[in-house]
Amino acid sequence: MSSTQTRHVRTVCSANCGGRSFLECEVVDSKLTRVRPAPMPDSRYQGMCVRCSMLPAWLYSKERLKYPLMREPGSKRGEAQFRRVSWDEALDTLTAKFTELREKHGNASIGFTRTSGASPLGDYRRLGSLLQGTSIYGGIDMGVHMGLNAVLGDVGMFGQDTNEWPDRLNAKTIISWGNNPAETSMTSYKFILDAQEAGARHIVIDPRYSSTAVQADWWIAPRPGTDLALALALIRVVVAQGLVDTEFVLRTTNAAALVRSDNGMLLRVHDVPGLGGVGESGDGFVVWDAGINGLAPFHEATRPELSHTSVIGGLTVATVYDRLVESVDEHTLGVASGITGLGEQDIDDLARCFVDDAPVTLGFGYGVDRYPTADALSHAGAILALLTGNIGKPGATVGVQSHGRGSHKVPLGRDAPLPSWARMVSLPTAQAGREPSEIRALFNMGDFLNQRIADMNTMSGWLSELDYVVTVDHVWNTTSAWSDLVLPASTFLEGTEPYRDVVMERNCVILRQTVVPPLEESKPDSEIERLIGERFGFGEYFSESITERIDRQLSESSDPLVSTLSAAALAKKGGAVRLAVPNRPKVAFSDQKFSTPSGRAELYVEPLAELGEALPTWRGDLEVTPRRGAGKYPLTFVQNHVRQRAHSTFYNVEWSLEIWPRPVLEINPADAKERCIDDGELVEVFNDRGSVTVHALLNSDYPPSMCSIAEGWKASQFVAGNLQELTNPSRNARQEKRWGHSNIAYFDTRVDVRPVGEQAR
Amino acid sequence: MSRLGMRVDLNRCIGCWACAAACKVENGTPPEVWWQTVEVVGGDTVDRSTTEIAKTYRPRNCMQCADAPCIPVCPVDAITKRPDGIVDINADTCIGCSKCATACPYDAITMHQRPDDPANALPVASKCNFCAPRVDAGQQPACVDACPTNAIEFGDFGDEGLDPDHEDDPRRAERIGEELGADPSIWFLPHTRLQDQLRSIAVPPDA
Repeated sequence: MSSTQTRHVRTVCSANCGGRSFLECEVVDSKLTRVRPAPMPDSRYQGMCVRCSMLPAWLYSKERLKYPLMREPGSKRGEAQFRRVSWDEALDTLTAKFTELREKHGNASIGFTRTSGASPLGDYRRLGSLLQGTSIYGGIDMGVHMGLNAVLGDVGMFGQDTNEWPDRLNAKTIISWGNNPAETSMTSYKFILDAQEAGARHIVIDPRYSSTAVQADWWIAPRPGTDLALALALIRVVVAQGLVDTEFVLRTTNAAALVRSDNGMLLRVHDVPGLGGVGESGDGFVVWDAGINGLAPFHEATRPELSHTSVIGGLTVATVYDRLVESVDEHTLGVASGITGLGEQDIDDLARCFVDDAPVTLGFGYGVDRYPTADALSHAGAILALLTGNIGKPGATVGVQSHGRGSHKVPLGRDAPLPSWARMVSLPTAQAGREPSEIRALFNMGDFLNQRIADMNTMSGWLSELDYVVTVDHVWNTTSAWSDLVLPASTFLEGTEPYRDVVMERNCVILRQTVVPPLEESKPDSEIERLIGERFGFGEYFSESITERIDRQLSESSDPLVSTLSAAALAKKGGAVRLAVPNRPKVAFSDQKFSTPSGRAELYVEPLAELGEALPTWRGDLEVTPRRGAGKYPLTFVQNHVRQRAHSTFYNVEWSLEIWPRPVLEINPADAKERCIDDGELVEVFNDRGSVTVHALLNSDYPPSMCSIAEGWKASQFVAGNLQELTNPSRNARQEKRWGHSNIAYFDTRVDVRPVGEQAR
Repeated sequence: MSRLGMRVDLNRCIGCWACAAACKVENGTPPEVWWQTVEVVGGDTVDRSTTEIAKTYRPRNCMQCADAPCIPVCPVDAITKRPDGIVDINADTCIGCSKCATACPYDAITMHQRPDDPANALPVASKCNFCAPRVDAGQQPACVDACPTNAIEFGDFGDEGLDPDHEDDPRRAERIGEELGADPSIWFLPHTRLQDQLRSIAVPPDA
């Protein structure tokens, strides 16, 4: 019997649930056999989830791509007729095609897309920048950040974290709004359970009886898409019942700033003769100072009035607070009850929690992100938290309650610099393929068609018309069939160097070590990027080895502890080192300073004034709100996120398919009965945009008139069609006005369902 | 006397299957064979017409019964109870008669093809043994380690210490199928959130 060699390698999961579990991988003769939780220097964060356990099965999935594939000449995109080619032939062809297109149509004719979690390292941004291509960006998980960024300061599209997870123990009330952490953030969820055991009340707002709702102390199920109407009613309760923390609001927000009635803009110092504002100080807000009974720059006022209206030189001005009170006035309990379907007393009770049961942790999830109201809702949530003083304190926070986020971090050194001309131009995902652009070719990392876009039939039509499409992934994905060239990437577990990268997670600096060599002919993305870069003559920008890159990122860190580390030192220390940061959970905005232009939380989003939406406004004009389109397509269609996948990652794990074998349409039994649909029956879900055929699962976790197919299944796993054929591609004027791009409102989709009889088959 | 057992806090179980997947990877069970599963109690769904019925989750694996019904029925004495209470099947001795699987009141034993001898027409019985090799190496069973909410507690329970550690927790540990008399070694702290759960559910739009 030959002797076997067993090694243990520590690494960090990269699947984009955000979990980033620190893992100990057992490798027997270069094969990954087992994955277990590795000892975490911050022991509160030790652990892993069901997805981590499935990594060996995922790594060795029979769906892994083995070698590069090129579309057969004469076949059409979407027909999936491909032949095996060598890496040299693949990359030489790619280079020739891209070169030809760049010469003919300009550098921006090469578009770059990426899906989340496809690789921890080598996301082709360097290559894209050097080629001066077009970056197709945004469209998902950004709506809730937009609203918070507008009020609390722009910290980037994924930066609005709540307080660190263990801080849940300091909260008296935890509200998970459109968020299902028991299924999506499984290693973080224990902190909510701990808080409940310590006496906190967990409120879950979700139309669906989710795994998190199962564990809630109070489950609130509004009609789908009506969350904003609920939030505005909560604000109205707070202001109408005198529950505002006036001192806190005056100190931290611009609620006392005066708004001009003529153009909706804020009154500035330079607008008022005699206040003497010139230059930068002239941009400051003006308030009504009760101390002098007159106008004063905000920072000079001794007693700014929260509520004040007056006429100055023929111009009526009122405080932001007064405008807010006015704008929510119509959102009475009765009105909100009519829109959301909730009881008036329940809405009143929920609002009172912000005062009677504070501190409140208000965490939004990416469920509410999928409606066009996402940014307005989180804007309203921020206002609610600020009015009641529920921000910047232990237990009091508002943000996106995402997996493992919000912990202490220190900066790593930056990537090796690129020349200043190396920049991509940007095109929002929601506009790609839907309006004229310079793009003639696509370089897709991951599964663009399946995961990043709505209205798939229009988008696959666009892909058909392009001159050249490249898709790089570990597996044959939905976009692969629409490509000319398919490149096999290695997963984050494989590599040709000892390490993959270094990350800051959960108060630690952690080395992502290579677990096994690349499978078959697959290559790490970083190597594919280098090989393409070299072909374009950019070899010098890809000359750094991964170890050199990590060492530089560590040594160039501004943190004294991190800067003493190297990749080898980190490996020797067990792969993870705790940062020199407090044990006390991090509290977001604990200094109550905000990175807005004024340094205050800005309740009033001035750039939206000309749309009349500087304060969150319920228009009720969603596809799913009852009055529009309900007759033709009566059902709201959403895409739940499931515990066995992180988006589409792990769709191919055979173990998980033993438990959850196929996509299903989950539909309320009442809706099923009306359509003569039995449990397990094959059904077609359809609207004007497309259709998908799946088996029905009768499930009253979903309310009547709402149904769902979990996102992340691959096209070939459906009996026919694809759920993304159904989804709503509408753009969002408010988001584009403020942020330049739209978040895709995947859940703002209406459908109907019919049984697929034998005849129809 | 030593009695290894588990106490599962159902208020902390989120039905995620991490225990089951960790078991699968640890023990390398063949396709379709799961020594650990997660059942949904009360049906897969919530009935919106009542506040009383709803789903909860419950992990299930071999109960390592003190009076294990699988042991006496084995014609070849392939199943033994270790001094620490673990009930273990010796695959080399097993003749695949499936008497144990029939006798088990908890449906914890699976009959399947022999992974090391697929040509053999006789199946083999297998089940959870609390990850006996890990236990022997001083570790916890894989499911316990992998549970992201720390819902499963593993240890030598003897006959005591089964109720919650917190004085203010009024729950009493329960066992499944107590009346069957097998004296199982897995205790469950019951799910109590449901009975106290407040629900505010939207009335349908056309109501």
